[in-house]
Amino acid sequence: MSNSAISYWRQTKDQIPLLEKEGEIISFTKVENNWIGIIKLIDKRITAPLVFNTKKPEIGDKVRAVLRILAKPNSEDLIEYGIKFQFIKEI
Amino acid sequence: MKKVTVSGIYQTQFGELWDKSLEDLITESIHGCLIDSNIDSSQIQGVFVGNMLGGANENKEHLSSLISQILHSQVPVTRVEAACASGGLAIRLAVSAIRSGEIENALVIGAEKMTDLDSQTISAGLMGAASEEERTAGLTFPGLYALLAQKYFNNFHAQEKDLALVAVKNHFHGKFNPKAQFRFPISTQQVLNSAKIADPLKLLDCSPISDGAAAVFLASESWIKKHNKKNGVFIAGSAQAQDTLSLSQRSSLSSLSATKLAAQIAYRQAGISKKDINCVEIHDCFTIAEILALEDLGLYNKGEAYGHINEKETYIGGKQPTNTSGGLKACGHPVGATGVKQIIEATLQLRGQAGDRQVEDALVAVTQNIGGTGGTAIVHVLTK
Repeated sequence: MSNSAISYWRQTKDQIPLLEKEGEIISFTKVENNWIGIIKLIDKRITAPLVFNTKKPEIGDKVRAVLRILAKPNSEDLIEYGIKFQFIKEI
Repeated sequence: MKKVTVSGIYQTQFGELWDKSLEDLITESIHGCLIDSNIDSSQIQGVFVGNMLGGANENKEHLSSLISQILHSQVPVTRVEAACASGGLAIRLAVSAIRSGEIENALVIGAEKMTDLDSQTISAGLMGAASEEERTAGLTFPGLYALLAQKYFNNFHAQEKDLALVAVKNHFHGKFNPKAQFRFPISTQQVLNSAKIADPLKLLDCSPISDGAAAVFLASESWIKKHNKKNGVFIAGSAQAQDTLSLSQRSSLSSLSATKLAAQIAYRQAGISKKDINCVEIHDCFTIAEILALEDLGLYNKGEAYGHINEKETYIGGKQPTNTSGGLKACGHPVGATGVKQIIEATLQLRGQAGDRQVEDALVAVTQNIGGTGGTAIVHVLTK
């Protein structure tokens, strides 16, 4: 995401309505130490980070949108909050 | 429809070319192509250049004027950007301009300078070809293609070893290409043991960061006859199709439908069927991409290509020789140059000038160049 506060605000306001929505993983990968997936919700599909603490994701796993810090910021950066999808059985 | 011929070709070395700038690479490819075409720059009627990152990497946004300066010419020069399909799209626009009759010939250049920058900076630049949603999620291009691979594994029971065999084959072919970035073989075990980049893709499943340029001279058949120039290879089909920028918005993750659509149009234009195709140069930016392309071009049924790769059908001498240049994996992937290099390899095969990697009796070759994760697909059919 852009470091501009205005750009951050513009993009994140679209994510807030997703909070608490549930969906199913249709594909996933791991880049560095982060799981990322494509999630099928009732009315749309979205690409987002995944939170899986006790197991590796699998296609078909049920997940729910939660609010999390998206990336570790530097001292003078914006702290970027956004949506991640957590494995429902771990909530 | 007017016939378009490939009358001249030139490719620079691909690789980490620390002593060459983007301008050096473009200049070398132009002069090499003029020599192969046996023309001088005053005969060129139009120029198209494919480049993605010249502005971001070398602060060279105005390539059109730079090329006019190199050519000492005032004919129109058009810069084309379609991510990794920039070169293929430049070819297609030149073909369209010649077919329309507006011009009778065109020089097409594809060029990219990538290795001056560290890998994080170049990866961030390349992610300009993905969606905001994908960037925000933390994906990279290996990550995006890993999502396709994971889905393919799930649907068709392929494994990491099946991907590795694509890289092994392309390195085998690259050994015979003097312009290739990597001219050494690798083993399946080396691929499987290489560092994981984005699960399930490993380092040796990925094409490299490369510098390089390629140029071709295209002309109408009538111009060739009038000027008594080399003939022999025709672009008989040229098609482009698009798809969504975000993978999440696609109806299927187990194929790239833009390739399917572009292939259908290009085959129809050329009056060929998949059975007529003797060799293909396809966009193996990651090993999974070659498997998807073989299926989307109709050469194998969905979910079956990896089994045929296991049988070595895609090697030179096999039933469906694929990426005889070494592909993006071994020949290298200077993104703007790739689509033009594919045309050069197809032309060499049809001219019978591919040396140790020559496909016997090649009459029809197909190229497939992809932008992003298949948001743009360019397919060309070349015939003898």
